[in-house]
Amino acid sequence: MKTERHLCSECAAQAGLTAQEAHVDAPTNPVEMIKQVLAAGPEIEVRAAPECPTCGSTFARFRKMALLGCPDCYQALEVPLQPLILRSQAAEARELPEHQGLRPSGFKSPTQSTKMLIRLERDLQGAIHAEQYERAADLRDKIRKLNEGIEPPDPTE
Amino acid sequence: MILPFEQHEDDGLLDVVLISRARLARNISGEPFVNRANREEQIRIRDGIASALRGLPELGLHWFDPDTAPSAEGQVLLERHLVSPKFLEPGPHRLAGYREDARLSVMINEEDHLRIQGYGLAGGLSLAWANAKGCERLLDEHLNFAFNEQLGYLTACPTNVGTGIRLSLMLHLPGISLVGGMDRMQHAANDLNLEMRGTSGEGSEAIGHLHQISNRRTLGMDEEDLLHFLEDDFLSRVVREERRARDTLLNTRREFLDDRVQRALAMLRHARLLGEREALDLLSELRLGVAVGLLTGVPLETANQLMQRVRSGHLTRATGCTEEEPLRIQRADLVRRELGGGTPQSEST
Ligand SMILES: [Zn+2]
Ligand SMILES: [Zn+2]
Repeated sequence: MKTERHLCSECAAQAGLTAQEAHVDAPTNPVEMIKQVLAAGPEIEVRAAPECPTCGSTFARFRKMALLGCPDCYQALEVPLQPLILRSQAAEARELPEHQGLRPSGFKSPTQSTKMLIRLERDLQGAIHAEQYERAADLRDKIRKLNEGIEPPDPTE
Repeated sequence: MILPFEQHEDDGLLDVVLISRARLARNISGEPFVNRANREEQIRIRDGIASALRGLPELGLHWFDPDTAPSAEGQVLLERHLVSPKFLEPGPHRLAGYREDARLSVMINEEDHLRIQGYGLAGGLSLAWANAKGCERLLDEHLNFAFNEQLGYLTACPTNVGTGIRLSLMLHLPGISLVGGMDRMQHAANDLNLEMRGTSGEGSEAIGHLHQISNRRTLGMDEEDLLHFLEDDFLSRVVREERRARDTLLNTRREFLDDRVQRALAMLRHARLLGEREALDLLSELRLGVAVGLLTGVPLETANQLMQRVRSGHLTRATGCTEEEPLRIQRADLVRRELGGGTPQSEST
């Protein structure tokens, strides 16, 4: 299963930066801790200058054309796009609202475990922000288990 | 599914609203957007969508290929709001389908792979939406649209992401304009996260006091909620204000209003050359006079139809003229004929 992670641009830049410093060993500083948490996750890809793997579009191209290159651009360019979409929707909320309305008839509604996953990922992001690294590592383990199809964690936890 | 094309529509708002439209943006999953697609991909996308549409004869579509059809035909579709200006620009392999009764149109390879547009007369926004939705749901069974759980339908421009819906209303607002209320209306629209612009384009002065209003929000609010929001929070208010402004003018500045209307009628009845813009501005005054009851004998419907028939594309199709001056003559002739003015041969009647 594919997972999406929502990071603010500040976080992403930070993570992208640390990802480039490949060979630091001891996790002595907070930045390193974040890096480890992120690196241990199943499918996280954060780059300083992201490019869509499907069509090769960059954020610079989007800036110039005001158009994306393909549906996958939304995921590839998520970090710089998100504040832009928020602004264009003029929603008061700080986070993007979830889609409401028509959906393709072949598209299944999100399952319980997907909803759980989305919540855990949100919690993980919060934990990283709050520099609660032990909690973050714990949440990351739960996400991994859920992704691997191992029994879901107790929702009351 | 029963398509709502034949449904009776309520024209109770015809004095203020000319036309309602609901547009849905869709793209085919796994294909690049039009701006990133190469020739082969553009053709594949076009043919895939066209073949799904051709398999639905109940939609009753006629086809328009901008690469092969005469340009006047495209202009007519543009003036009927069935295709966009962007669609007629030279570009990728495009194709449009439309119903002759103008209840539905589709554009393939405009900004998105597919744009479905449903229409309703006057404030018939629900009918416009029902027409667009009916077509979309039929296509949904045959095409795989790009979609994700969080963001909804994925569109080439991220401002359309989510429902991909744009509901719009064409409003005739001479009253609000003449009492100096347009700025306030503009702000009110903005506060409701709606976009309001004159028909001649963004920022510029509105031709014939015609204004188009549309939603900005496409994410996190479903189509029906948006529709009711637009109707209840904006449309009912703008209609009330426009009618009130017209009443105020009629009650407090009757001569001022009557003078404008009678001058417009005199010009329309006697002019020998009429430009497009001039004709639209004069017909707008005429329409106002009819709506407030200063002019009798001219149905509102005649004024509305004339506002379309004086457009260059319609006139070219009707007369075969393409040159500017002959078109002006033809336009003046048409208007005089419809409004009972004198013909050049019998000046005195
Ligand atoms: Zn952050
Ligand atoms: Zn892409």
